[in-house]
Amino acid sequence: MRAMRIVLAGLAAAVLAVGSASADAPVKGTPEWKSAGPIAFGPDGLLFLADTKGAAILAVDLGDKKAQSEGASLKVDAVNEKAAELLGTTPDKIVINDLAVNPSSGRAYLSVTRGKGGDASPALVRIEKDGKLQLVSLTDVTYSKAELSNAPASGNARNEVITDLAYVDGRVFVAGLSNEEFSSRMLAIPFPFADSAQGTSVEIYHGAHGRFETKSPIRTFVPYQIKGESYLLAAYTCTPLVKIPVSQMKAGSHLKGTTIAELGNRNRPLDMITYTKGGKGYLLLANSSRGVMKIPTEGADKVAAISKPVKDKEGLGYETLANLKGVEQLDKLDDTHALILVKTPAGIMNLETIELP
Amino acid sequence: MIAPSGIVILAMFSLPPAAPDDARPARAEALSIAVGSGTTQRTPVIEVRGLDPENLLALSKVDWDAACWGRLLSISVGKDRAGSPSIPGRYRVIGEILRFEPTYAYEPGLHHRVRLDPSLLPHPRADTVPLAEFTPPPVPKPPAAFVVRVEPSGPVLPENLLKFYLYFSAPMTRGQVYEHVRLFDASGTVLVSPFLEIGEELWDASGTRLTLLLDPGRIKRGLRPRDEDGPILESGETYSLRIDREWHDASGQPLREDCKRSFRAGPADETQPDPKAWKIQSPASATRGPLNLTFPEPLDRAMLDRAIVIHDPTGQKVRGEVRVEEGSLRWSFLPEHPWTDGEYTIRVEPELEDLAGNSVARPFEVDNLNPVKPQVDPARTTLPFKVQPARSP
Repeated sequence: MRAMRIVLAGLAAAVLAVGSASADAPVKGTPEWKSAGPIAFGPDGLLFLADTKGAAILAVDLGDKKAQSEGASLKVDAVNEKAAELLGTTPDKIVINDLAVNPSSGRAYLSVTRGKGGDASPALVRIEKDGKLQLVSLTDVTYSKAELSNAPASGNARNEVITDLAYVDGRVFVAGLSNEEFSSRMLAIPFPFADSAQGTSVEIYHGAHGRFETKSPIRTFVPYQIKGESYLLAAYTCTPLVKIPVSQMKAGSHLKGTTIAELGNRNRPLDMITYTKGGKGYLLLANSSRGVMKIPTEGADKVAAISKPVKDKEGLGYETLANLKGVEQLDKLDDTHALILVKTPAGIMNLETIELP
Repeated sequence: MIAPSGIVILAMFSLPPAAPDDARPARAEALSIAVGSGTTQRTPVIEVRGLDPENLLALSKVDWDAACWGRLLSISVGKDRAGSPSIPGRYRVIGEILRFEPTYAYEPGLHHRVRLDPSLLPHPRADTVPLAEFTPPPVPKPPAAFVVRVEPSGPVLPENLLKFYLYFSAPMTRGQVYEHVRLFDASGTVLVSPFLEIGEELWDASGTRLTLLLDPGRIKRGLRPRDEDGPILESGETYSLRIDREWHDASGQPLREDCKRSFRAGPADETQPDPKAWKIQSPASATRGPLNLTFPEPLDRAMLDRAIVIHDPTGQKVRGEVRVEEGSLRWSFLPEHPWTDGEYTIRVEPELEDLAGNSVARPFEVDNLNPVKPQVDPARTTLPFKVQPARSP
């Protein structure tokens, strides 16, 4: 799953400017991977890696499809220090950009940037069930690549970082944020990537209470099924949580997310996952100021768009899990557990398993 | 053994010489680790010497993963403890040596340990090979970076200001922005969470320009962040944006100095930039004099570098240099080649914004009770101007 705390990805190149993408069929080889961004798993254990600097999405077959033994909860203390040791450097010189669990194998992966300056390199680190870290080599792998158009012309300082990506119903959705104009664009790229694949750029608007409408960018999103229909549950940069029907994400459409919850002040959505417990659906959202929020999604299909200013907890309600502080990343480990990356006040990052609340 | 300056070497071995009646085959050389110079001092070469032919042959054929190689020949940093991971790299047999080449350049100034466990060789050996250690020399530091300027640069900024651009003299470290940039009010009180904190951070490709967005949830009307915390800036008040020198540049040094940019907030700007309201000062033909545009309000400084394009009478894009005066109220274009007589066209990207995120195409907020149609028609975004010979004095 993606998370907000991405890359320092880099000295990046522009990405989603117009929104078309060209792509290649899978090949065996060593993909050029310039920067570590959000990562997400697709079907059959395929890993999608967003490369902001290279203006591309890679789909890599890691051959990691066999389910590992269950039951062991994963716990790695000071995972940032261990990742730094593995990469031959110190913790202050790496950034963990994203965490994703391969649902096919139950293994966890970290997207890491080694170095903080212009010579920063991407790294993919796998965490085994015994808690050991291993660098995943992308040498001689089967991969395909979708190149995102409109890399900046020489001297053009415009840049668009990839803030999230997810695979839904045969398309890879990619959210980007520009360092110049304030706008919202989402790119939908058909997968498998094909030579002639043309991504679709979708502008998504945010309407506050049916009145004030902006092209607010989406920071993080997660696929979700409501009565057999695919939606994205998305958090805007201006904080509201919305649902967007995937089937309506077509080029040229004026698409407005339906606000299903207003999260209030000083929020900074970092990452989110969905899960089912006791037959009911929930959204778990890591949040900078409120710890982790648990939002029942029951009724997300019925909830009327919030159309007037609301008090706290209107729309879909939520509860704050006060015992979870400093959660920067999360992903589902299995049907009953989540893996969380927690930053302590001293800056140490621990990987922990929690029971889904 | 090769010993480049600055690299500490320990090494060696060894087995006692075989006794005459020893059944073991005689070994020509004892096992040793050599840390030698590579192409640069940051890439010293690590080699194992003294391997017997049967191990060399076996090592050239094994299909080991990184973990297996790392247990045989481990290169590690950090705390020295059992199970320290070996840094990633390539292991290969070249002639009579086993060589390790790291995936990433060795970290300058960081202590590295090299251990060989001969019992894990394909044909295990009982040699004792002492730890080898080295520290790649620190890289000379360039001059510390500093803040070159902060945009927008005018003394009065709209209370619904959407972003700042910070320009640095050299590439900066990422991941620390929101710890080192703060906004204060006139009483010296720091404003709480005024910025949209984005883990990705919005840098340009050179790493020298940062875009700092003010929290749109507190600019946009009708949202809870604004209702609860109020707007970030209020018209009539004075503020200062401060960048502290503890922020490190990409070479790891603190900034040369603190930076403070004071301004006063003015009324909110809720109107779109209108190119038709710009004043055009045409250049004379046969000169390389500037085409000048004067705006009634400051526009987004970064976008002014690319969002206005000039086309010649044949429709070709004119190459040249863009200059923007301080305050972003005046834009000039100096062509590479002299202007020729005829009608030129100024084409404006509809996404060009003012300081409050209102673009030529669309206001920052569309009030659906008083809707404004998006303005992207060519008549609005295309401005003709005529180039003629200079009038005689």
